[in-house]
Amino acid sequence: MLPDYFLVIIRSIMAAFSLLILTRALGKKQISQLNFFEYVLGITVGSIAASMSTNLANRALAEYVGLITWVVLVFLLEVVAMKNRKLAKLITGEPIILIQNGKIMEDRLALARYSFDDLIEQLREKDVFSLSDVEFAVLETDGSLSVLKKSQVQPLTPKDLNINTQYQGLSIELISEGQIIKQNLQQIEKDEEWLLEEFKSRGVSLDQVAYGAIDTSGRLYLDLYKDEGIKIIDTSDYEGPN
Amino acid sequence: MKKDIVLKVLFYFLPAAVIVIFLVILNSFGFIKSYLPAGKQIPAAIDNIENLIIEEAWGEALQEEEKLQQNWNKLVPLIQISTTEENIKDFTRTLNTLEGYLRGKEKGLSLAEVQLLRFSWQQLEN
Repeated sequence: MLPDYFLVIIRSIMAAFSLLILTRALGKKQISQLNFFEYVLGITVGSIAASMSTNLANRALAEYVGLITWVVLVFLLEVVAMKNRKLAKLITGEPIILIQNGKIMEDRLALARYSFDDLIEQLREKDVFSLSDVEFAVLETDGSLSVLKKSQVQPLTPKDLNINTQYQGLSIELISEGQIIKQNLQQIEKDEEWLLEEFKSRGVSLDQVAYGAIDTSGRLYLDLYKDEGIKIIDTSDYEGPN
Repeated sequence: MKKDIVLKVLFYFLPAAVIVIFLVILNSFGFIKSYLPAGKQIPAAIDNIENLIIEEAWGEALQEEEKLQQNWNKLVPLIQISTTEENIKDFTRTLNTLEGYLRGKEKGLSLAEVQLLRFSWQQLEN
């Protein structure tokens, strides 16, 4: 008879790999983007996997089937929600306007079972410390609060001053951990020779570069392994290992 | 083109295959019961013991029970992943009780244990 711990190891490996595969199939939603239903489903799936791994009193197959069923169910609900707007609203709920034209909607607060304290707290988290600064506040389906400040208190942008700005897109990584990312070099229609020339002009070699990226204006950012002339600021007041 | 196919296999087929393999492993008792010699011999041995008890051939019944015990011990590590700890303990417990009744030449109690053994064997799959 195999010892219990050996069975736990086998069942844990199965549960871990299956969770990895199944959660990858579900997509890349972050915890902050999950609505309450999805959040609870996540906890349920995790609990089943944990039980499968250590609860030898239950048949692993039953728990494994349960795990797959829950994940497939979530997947199907997500697909349905994407295809059908009405069902999506039913599954995920709808955003609720809590502040409209600067006025708190008390009946909506009651509908969302939100207290004034909850509202004020979430406004503070959005750097709003005065209700008079708020034009609209919307409680999203994931429980976060979206705030539209009154135009008088919104930060000035180049557009407000009619200032033209250059296009700014995503920077493209060219070197990571000292390795040239050839695919990205091809994408910007450059080659290794060009990159090595750039290094030469800056007096560095490839083995010195830890990270490199190019932005949309063509500026190459390089970070070297050796950070010369920089004394690391110690912000810790604890003497043990960090 | 070839690279695309390899990538598709890696990203879709491989994870699906892993899930299916795990499902097969966790449901392997049915296969072991039907195809492995140690698995196939157990129901036959139970029937044999029952007949020997009815004939009151206690010595032979004990020998058959011992063989069954050896078979069972070989089988346990193979089925542990696909059944519960409790089901395995139930079968082992019944087998040991049966041995005691056979030694005591208790016909009625032995037959009852044989019946329970048959039930425990079926329960292993549930």
